[in-house]
Amino acid sequence: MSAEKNIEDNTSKEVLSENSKTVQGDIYVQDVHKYFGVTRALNGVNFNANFGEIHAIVGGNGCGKSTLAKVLSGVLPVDKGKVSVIGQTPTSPVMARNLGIATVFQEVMIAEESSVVDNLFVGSDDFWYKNLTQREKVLKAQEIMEDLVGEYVDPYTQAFNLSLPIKAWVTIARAFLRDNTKVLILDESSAALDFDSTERLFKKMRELRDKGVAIFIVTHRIAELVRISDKATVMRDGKDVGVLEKKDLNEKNLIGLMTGREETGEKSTSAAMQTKTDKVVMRAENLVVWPDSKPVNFEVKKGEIVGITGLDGNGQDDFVKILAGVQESHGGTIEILDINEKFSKYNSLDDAKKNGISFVSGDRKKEGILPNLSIYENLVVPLYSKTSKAGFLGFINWMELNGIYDWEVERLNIKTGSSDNLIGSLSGGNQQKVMIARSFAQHPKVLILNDPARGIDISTKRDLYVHLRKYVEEGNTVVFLSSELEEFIGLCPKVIVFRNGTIFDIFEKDKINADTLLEGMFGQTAGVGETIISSKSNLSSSSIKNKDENNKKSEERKIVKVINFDEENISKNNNKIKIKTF
Amino acid sequence: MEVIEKLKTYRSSVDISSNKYLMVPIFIFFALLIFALIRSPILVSQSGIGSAIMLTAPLILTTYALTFIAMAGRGGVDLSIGPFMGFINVSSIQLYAAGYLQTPIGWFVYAIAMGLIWQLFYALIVCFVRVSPIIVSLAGYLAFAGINIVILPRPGGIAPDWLLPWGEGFTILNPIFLLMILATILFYIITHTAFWGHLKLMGSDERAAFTSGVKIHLVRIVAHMIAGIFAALSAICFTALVGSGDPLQGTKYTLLGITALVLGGASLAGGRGGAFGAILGALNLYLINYILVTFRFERLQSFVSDLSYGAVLVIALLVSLILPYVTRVTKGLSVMVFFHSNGICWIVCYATSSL
Repeated sequence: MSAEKNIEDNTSKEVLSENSKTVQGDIYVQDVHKYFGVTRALNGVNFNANFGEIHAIVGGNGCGKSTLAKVLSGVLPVDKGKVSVIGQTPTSPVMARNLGIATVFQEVMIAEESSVVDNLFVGSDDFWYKNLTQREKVLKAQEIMEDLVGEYVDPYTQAFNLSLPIKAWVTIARAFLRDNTKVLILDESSAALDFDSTERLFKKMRELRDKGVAIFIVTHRIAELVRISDKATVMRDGKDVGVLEKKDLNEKNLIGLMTGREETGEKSTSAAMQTKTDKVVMRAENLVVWPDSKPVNFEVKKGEIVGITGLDGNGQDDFVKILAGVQESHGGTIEILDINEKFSKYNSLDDAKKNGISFVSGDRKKEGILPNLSIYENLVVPLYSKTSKAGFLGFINWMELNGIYDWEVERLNIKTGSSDNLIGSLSGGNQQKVMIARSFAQHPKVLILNDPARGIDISTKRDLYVHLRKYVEEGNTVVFLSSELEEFIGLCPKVIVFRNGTIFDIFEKDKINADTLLEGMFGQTAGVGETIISSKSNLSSSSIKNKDENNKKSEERKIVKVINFDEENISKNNNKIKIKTF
Repeated sequence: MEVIEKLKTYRSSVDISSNKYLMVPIFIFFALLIFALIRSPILVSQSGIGSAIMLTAPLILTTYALTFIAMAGRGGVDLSIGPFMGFINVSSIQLYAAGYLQTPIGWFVYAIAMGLIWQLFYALIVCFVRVSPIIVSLAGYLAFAGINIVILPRPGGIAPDWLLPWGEGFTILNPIFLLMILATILFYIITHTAFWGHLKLMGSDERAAFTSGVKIHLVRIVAHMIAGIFAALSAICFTALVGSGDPLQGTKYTLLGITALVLGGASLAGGRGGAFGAILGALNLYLINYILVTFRFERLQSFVSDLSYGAVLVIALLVSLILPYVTRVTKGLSVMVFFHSNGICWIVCYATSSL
């Protein structure tokens, strides 16, 4: 499906149900706001659902889907607005449980030291009394696990012995084991499941729906949700942007709503950076990001800004970390042009640094700031050894560092108080600027940015882009990962979309717009190398679906073999702003 | 088909994998036991077992108390438990001397009430002030150690007449032994309630427990209060053992208790532990000490004991590293079977060596 075609066919305006915002359903969320610091996770979202329907909540990365699921299940209190489930507001997981809300969270939350049966029945007992005897529990556990997983799972096995898909099943089975379930929320629950398992899950979901349970699914897999759901609420930037009824539920409409045609219509004022030379400075050959993913071939030229994106947990962050030497690959080589103008291989952070590669992570808290040091120390800490004096004594040359500090602070326009203040006294955006200044101060040739603009305000972002442009004009190279697609427009001449741990598609110049990129992320474009879905626009919608399903089938089968889910999970977690619930 | 169904039901009716961690303490226990018997066979006489019970009772009960607190997770190990036992000891002795607490019931009520109050306070701070548990317990350790000296500056006073014979340890069936049996029964009853399940899950993954609707604060508070009861019983056994008030002796139970807890296979990270492990851990410590006494190190005795506790602890932790592997290999082997087979094996060894 070409991008132009998609935009022409986009009928999102007409398909919105007229009355969806006025009539309250059995379960509704009204004008709910939820902030984490400066990040607005939910920004006035409305949501309506009724019993006996499967309702999908969809949207791009970080649009607040999971937050909405957490709000509905009482884990997160709302800052403003009204949540109502059968006339009551769930304020704690205990209350949500009593109201009949069962939630399967995105993170596979399982007690590793406890047995399967204990994990399945967590929270089902009263404080002192067991509502079921151990024997009853074991039999029920065996039954449901056989039903869902399709094989025998020893109920007494400790959870750490299980593979990730089975762990995921345990968390899902928990929700199905409750007898008072009225609302079932599944947040990305099928992410770790293969095609057959997903089918079994869907069968169960349909059974429950027919019994009158309201089911909400949050998922990235568009083809799946089109198949299963009766209705879909599309979210963008913490707001609901439209509700699609079953008859209008298809990829086209969903993606149209997700990107928001009217907003992407306005052209970015600045033109993308043009790469001036053809000299390759860094390349990766047959790089295997996940143990079972297809190898990646990648090149970046001198003076180029390459954008990298993908849906959360599709390997793009692992890829940039491998490029930066922070993480190890599962095969293949990465090479960089060294001082002698020759390609040399590197596979450690040390080598990467020696060859002028610098890495800035968007996860400041975990991979960036040193919270108990001052702003000054945070900026100059990697320079201590470079500027040290007196040989092995290694005295720190404060005079030289002072100059570097002043220069960088002025250049990046960092708003600091006294340089001796703790880094925590700065706003998130300025902290991020300090992190970038730290990298610039090392004069790298290649700067690798892992979602640097996360959680910083728009003006800081603009500043950042200006600096990146300048930096690239000086003949340096930037690899820029972002989950916010708008960031690429007018900045990157080339954007690489990752899917399932490998490069799915590459977009250049004019093709870079939010719609096409999003289609690429959801696997709806032609892709590179092999024609995955070719000449799709000529097919009727039903055959599109079939083809898509087949394609999904093969793709998802592949994912299941990847034993590397833990790592995927870790990287997922790294990417999220951590939400402390207690 | 029916046979298979039955087989499955049978297979699933025995829980054999959740306590595999006990294998290491069991192995160490029998190894030490045989060594101790070779060094000094008097261990298996009426008075030998009697004194073993008397000496290990306070430690076993301390370890029970610590088990509940460690089970609750957040890396919470109660450092204050030793000085707190000392506090009950010296305060009871002083109150007794002043004319209060004249009946055994009075002693028990006082000790248990103190245990509940202190642990409730401790748990409330951990739950609602959100200080790291280790800080709270360290503060408790220092505070009680100080208070004890204020209450009773130097060892002295005398335990009531009814309590003194408890600490003699000449017979197996003495009140201390009965007290320990009762405490163990209480422990086993608790492990069969739903509360124990909540505690285990909470210790192993607090987020999972919270989002599944477990009342985590309540579980933590109750776990601490149960620990308070065991700590109180432990303090009474300790008072019987020393027969007087002693402001300093109790303090060493903190480190001994934690050592026994770890030797018994409990996880300081939470979610794993039990009565059997606690008993084994405490007995192992006793046996190490017993063996070392037979070597007559004289003045170096306490130094060598501490050194050996440390060494055995490190060995036990190293052995636990291969535990996941052992668990996989011995999939169908129950720990009880392992216990008995180990026992038989070692006894045969002992018999052949003594021939």
